[in-house]
Amino acid sequence: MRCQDATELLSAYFDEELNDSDAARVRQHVQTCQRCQTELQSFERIHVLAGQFQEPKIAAPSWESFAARLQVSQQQAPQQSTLLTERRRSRTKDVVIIVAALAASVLIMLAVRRPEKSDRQTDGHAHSHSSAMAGVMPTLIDFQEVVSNFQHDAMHASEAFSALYAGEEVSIENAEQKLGYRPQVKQALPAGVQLVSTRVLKLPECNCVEGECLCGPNGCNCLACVCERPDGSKFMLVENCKSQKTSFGDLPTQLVRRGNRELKVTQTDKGLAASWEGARARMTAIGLRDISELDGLLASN
Amino acid sequence: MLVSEDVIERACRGEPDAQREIYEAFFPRVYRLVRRIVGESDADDVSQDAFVQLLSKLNTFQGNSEFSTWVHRVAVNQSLQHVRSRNRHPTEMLHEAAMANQNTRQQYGLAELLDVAMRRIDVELRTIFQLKEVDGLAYSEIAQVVGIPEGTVGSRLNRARRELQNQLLDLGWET
Repeated sequence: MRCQDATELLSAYFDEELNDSDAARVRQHVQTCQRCQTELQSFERIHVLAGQFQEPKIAAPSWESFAARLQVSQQQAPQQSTLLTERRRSRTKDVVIIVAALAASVLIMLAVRRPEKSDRQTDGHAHSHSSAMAGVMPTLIDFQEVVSNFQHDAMHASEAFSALYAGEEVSIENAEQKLGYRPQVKQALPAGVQLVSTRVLKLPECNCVEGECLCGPNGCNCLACVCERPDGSKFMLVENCKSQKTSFGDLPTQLVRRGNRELKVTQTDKGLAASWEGARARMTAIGLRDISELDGLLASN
Repeated sequence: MLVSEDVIERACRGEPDAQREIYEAFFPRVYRLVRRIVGESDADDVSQDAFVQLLSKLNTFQGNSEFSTWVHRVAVNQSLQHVRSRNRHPTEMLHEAAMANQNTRQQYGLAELLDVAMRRIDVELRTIFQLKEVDGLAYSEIAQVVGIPEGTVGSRLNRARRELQNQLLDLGWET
């Protein structure tokens, strides 16, 4: 049995949900595969942890209070049903009009649309994720040093970080070509902000899921850009695969919810750094002035 | 079996005593599941909404699955519907702290660590993990509850476990 096939069946094997024949094949593979053994051990440790978790003991709210709620709801149901029927009738007419308008719009778009460069590159980008499902732990990218040094010398800190991962200075067009899609910094930057450095980095194994990866044709890529505000001060924006884990090391970090996003934020007296899952990539911003600047980036990423 | 077929039939006919028996027998497990999916603050409300649905639609229970599986399904549907609705109308709020990695381990006990890690993973993955690891459902039952093919349950659990491991390590879990 190939490792890829065994990995796919690993939970079912662990939970004893496989038939005898498949279980025997997985067992045979696991005996010779260190990676699958490690993953099974991890499943076991999480299983033990789950067993230790004590769900809070709760008592049902009294039947009397719930019965009142049930009664109100059941009384409202027939009224709502009548209202819905009436609404449905008038909506049917609206829907016909909307569908016709949408169909016309699609036809017009198809007629005038020419494929963009990034679309063609994405289509042609066939990247294999042979290790993605093999339970390899993604390497943690530690931003502690670059965050700490950025406030003293932004360009130097950015260069030092880039050097850790074989960073190569490229034009934004070239970066787009290497990544196979249009980077976020090319799509939206706050007004007056300019891109002063664009580097493509080669990160360690990201173990990302197919479809969520930024791996270009030549390996696992990441983009690190330095942006300059109108007053000459700078911030840095890094985008990498969603599955690549990032950390601010020993810096005090808070989990912060903004809208429907959860961010890791670390704040110093000279600014803040944040990491969040963007629409396409994991974004990390370093050297931001305040929460409103962060919100601006969140709105476009 | 937490309640007998007779109780289900009587509740179906609208007999309050039987409805009450179902409510009291299943509320704790429904609440646990709902709490895991929607979070502590909304759990009580969503659990009661799930029971309103459950008792109102009792006559649609065909007996094709275990009654408890059907109850799980109603609870999961109600919870996911609530989460989707909440995501469409996000409210801005500062989250409670899950602080620096180096002292997270000291702040949380081992089991609480799992609680925090589960909140960080995709809602559908944590639902499946909860159904397997906490409620102890078989793959066939999970498939019925969540409405996915039985063959997909294993691969979703693979993802859930891997993501949980990543989050646990991120929180300072020492393996």
